[in-house]
Amino acid sequence: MIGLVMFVLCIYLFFSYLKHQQLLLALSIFLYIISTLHSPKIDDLFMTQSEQHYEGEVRVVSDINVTDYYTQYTLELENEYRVQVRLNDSSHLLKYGSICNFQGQITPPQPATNPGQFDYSEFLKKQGVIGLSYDPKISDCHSASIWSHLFSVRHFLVEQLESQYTDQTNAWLKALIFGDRSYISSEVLDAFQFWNISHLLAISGLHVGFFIAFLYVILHYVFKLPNEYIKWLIIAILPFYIVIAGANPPVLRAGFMALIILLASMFHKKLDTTDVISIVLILILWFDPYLVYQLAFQFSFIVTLSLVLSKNFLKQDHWLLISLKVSLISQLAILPIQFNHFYFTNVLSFLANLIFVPYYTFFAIPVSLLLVVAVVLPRNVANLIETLYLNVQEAVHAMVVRFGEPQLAIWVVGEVSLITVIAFYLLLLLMMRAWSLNQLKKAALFGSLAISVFFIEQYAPFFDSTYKITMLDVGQAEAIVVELPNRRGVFIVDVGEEVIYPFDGDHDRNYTSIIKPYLWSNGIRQIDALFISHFDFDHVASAQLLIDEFSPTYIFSHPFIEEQDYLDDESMEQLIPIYEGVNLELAGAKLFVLAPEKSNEFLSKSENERSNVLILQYDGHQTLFTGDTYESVELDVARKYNLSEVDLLKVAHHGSDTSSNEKFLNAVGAEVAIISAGRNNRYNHPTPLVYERLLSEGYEVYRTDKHGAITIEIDGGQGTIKPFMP
Amino acid sequence: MICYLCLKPIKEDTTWSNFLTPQYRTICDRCEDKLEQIPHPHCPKCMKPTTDQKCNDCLRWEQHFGQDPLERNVSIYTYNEYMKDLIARFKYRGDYEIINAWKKSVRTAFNEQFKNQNFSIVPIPLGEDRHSIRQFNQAEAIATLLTEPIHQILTRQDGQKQSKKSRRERVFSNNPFQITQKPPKSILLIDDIYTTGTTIRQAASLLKEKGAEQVESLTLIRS
Repeated sequence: MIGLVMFVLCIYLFFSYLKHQQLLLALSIFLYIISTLHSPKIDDLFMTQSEQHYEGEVRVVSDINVTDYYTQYTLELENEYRVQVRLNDSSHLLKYGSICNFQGQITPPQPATNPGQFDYSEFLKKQGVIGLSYDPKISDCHSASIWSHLFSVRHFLVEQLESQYTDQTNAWLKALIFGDRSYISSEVLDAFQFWNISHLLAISGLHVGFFIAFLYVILHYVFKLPNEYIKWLIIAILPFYIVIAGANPPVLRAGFMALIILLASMFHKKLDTTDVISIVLILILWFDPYLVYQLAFQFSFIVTLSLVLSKNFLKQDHWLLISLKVSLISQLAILPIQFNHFYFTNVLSFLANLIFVPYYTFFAIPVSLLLVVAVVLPRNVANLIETLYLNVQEAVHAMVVRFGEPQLAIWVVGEVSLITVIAFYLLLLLMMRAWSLNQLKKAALFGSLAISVFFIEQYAPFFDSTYKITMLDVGQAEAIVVELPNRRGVFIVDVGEEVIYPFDGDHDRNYTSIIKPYLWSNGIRQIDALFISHFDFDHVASAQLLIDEFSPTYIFSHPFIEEQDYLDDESMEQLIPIYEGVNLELAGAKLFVLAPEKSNEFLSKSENERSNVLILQYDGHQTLFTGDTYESVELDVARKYNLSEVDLLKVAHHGSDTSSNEKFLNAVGAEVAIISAGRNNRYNHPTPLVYERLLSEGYEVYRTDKHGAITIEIDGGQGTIKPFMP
Repeated sequence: MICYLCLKPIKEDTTWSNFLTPQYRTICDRCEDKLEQIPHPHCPKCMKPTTDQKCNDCLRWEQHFGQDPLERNVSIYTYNEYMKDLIARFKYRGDYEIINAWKKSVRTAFNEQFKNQNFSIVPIPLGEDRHSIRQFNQAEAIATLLTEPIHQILTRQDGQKQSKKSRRERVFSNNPFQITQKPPKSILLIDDIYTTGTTIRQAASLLKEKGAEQVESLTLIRS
């Protein structure tokens, strides 16, 4: 599809250039064909086996990457596939470009199992990486490439700085000078991402510009060299700088652009900046075609191109207006990509840019550079600068973190379709064209139209008559999302987290990486009701986070909640207890609560047995939710109520043999049963016996450990089951 | 691309307005800046810079003819020093190609003012002697910039060079034009310079006399 669009564009350009620039045209078509052949096909990258032993020669194709948990390298196998290697022992350094002997297991990375979830496997494939290997045997390394010396220089510099400054200062210097932001706290990184200012932490045009200016000043005023020499020297130094600064896509782009412009000026040629961008793009992709898939690469080039194209109306203005225009243009240019990756955009990010771009330009970056140079100064002078720097940096960034994520700033659209993306860019093009011709009214009109394309996307669910029930794959926990037709209502049943041994302090993984992305990718920002079947970690752990961000109108649970620390007082006050006999009507859906009985005998029972059992009925379709209830309750419910009309059964207690009594299964009229259970969970849920029982009772069984997220779509009385992994 | 006036390559920044619709330019920004478009406000009838509803020249013409045979004149540039040099280079030193520099502005002016009104293009002719000296007719050269058909229905008797005459002489000299066929209804006269408007009006009054209903003119320069 994208290929088709590109083709149409080519045909168009073909005709407009036909008259005057045949040579250029021929070159473009040639490069287009070459690039289609040269681009890696992601779909072709997969491991045929779930685990594979590999022995043979490998080439080191990355520098060392140290994290808190392991040391990481990327290796290239003989068949040119890449593997990411994680070593517990960080002591032996592999040099870039060296050839080594490899012996070890390679496993494919875990793919996403939920709609909207970040796909780690896909992410690695987009870097050419097909597998992971933990602590393989790597030996007999030889013939490192000359680039490895540059990395050595980088390590040397980093070590010098580490010995001079505190860890906090080094974290900033590593980010702002060496392009490695892994030492900056995730709080700050998240805040920067949220406010669309993480470009400041990527070494880009700003930093490269500073570096060149810095060099110029030294060479000109200290060494008093003539301009001609200075230019040659800068040209010679820039490639080294690019490597030392981490060689990330933005620094590659900015560095090579500067290099080409300087080179051209040595021959008294002035190149069009858009040509320079194109040349750099082609060069970089020639050497690493995988970069085209990287977000940083896409953002860097799209933003730069759109700003360069806008330069005729960016100059000669008040600086405030200029920075506002720059923010606006940059944000618009990447909007569809932003939505497809993050499902939202921050409509107030221009404010953050207004404050932080000058701060980084006039303080953070120059002082960071100064600190690097200050290593040669007496220790107390360097440390004085450091104290000043650190105090300001920490104060400013604490402020950003304290801002939090105001709901007002968030515009959630969700995933956008290709048609929307094309329509948006067409309108954006017309808008920018009108703006550059100073037809401001026309520009405003096209701009509004471009934005409204996303409103259409955002409100599309209101015209979708599908009734959707999605059991997310949240491991050994539970979370189910119910979306009524035409967005009449969104309910969530349970927001659980996995209990992980040993506990690693992460207790919102399901929420942040699965539940919230699922909701946002569908453009959901507010929910109508949250049902908490019972107060166990695997059913309630992230309920408070969900309440904070999706502000449910109602919160329901059973009436026997004792002391708990999952929900805050305010939420507990909002919570409405529901028990046998309660009938609710919410947004056109009917809810019949079947258990627990409101009787004192439940006070002595376990939390699982107190689970709400309820039937959700919408448009004749009945779903039976059972929480973690036990068979005693099941039998009780089966005795008292007619369950023959039920269409879908959520199997109780992850398929454990404490539940799913034969009589109960027999009484339930559903043909489809869904189970939430973790892959290879320690309880061996669902119990094979129960699974067999379900099958022999004639159920079609779907389980999250095998199928990933399970979506049941009902449209016009017709139900379809869509497991995420078929 | 080179500039037809200074003969240097044209360097144009790529912007949103031209990066998907590349344009073939014949004049560079620097030379274009040296040319002066007719400023506002001007006489709506002959484009002479004035704040009046109608300029003195036009009023005098109306007195002279009773009804002015020329409905309207549209000019593009003023006759500044730079333009004077260019016209000398064009007309008296024979740099015919120079007209390409004005291709875009002449076409734009035509499209904005005269397009789709069924005008027949009639360039002001040169006398035979003058033509054999110059080897081309500057008015016709300008007319060829338009993609419309050209109707050569006028001829001219050589007289004294216009530029050597006084205003009074120009206005009252005998009409030097003859007509070779019946004129179409609407006529757009093309010439290089509109100074007093005498030449254009001599042609216009002859055309009107022979049956044309509407005569307007497009001239490169209003001096």
